[in-house]
Amino acid sequence: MTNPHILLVESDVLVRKPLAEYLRDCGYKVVEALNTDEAVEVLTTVNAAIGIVLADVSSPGKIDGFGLANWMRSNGIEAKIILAGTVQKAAAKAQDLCEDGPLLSKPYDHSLLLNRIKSEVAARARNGTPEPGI
Amino acid sequence: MILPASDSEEERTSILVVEDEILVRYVICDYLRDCGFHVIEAGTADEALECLRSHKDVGVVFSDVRMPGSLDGIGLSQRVRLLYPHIPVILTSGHLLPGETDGTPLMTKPYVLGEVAQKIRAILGGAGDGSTSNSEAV
Repeated sequence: MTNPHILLVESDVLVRKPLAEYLRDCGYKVVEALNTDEAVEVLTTVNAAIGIVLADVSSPGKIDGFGLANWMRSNGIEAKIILAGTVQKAAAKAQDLCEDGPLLSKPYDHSLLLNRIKSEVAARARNGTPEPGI
Repeated sequence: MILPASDSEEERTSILVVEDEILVRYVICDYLRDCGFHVIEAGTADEALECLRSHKDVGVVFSDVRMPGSLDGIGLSQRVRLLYPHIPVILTSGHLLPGETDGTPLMTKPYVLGEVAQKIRAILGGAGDGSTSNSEAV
């Protein structure tokens, strides 16, 4: 059976990369989108393969995460959408997905994932780049 | 069928793919992962530089040339050469010709997926046999 595909919509590469790797470690195929415009492009093109969309509520693009959920509903996209408002929630949702996922296990607890994201973002903040809302 | 890479060097080394077209990025990253590479995705040169700052095991940067953001692929390759001289860069473009990339190796688009993997293996030093049967062009 083909592993379900997750479309991960997250604009911050230091958050998106660890989340995507965590979900891949759980056995999912992950498509990484930087914003909702890319998400719409993926859902329009390879809709059938995407089973789950995990999106930041405030994703950039012509529409935000809620707009993406509405767009999916009105365009008959059947993938399940999970909206996360904070990085903590995104990490917790990723853990939930791993517990239900193809390998029926998670590679590590989501608190470790969250710590990894926080330390990368903190390192960036030390270099003078603003920190996203964690 | 895509044969998994056997070279353990590939397991330790990440390939940073920089491409603003999501469908192209997805196809090449998925392919390289199926080949056994650890792949990091960036949609802009700015994201790529963030990844390079936070990820110390990038072995090769494979980047598009025309991208939105503060730098294009050539600017990114110049920055990588300056800040991370040990990391080789391969550029890809449908508009430039070899010799127009400031000395950075170029793969013209559309490229064949297997040839990208082969080129990366060659650069990493584990030239292998490039044994991938997928010849789809992107």
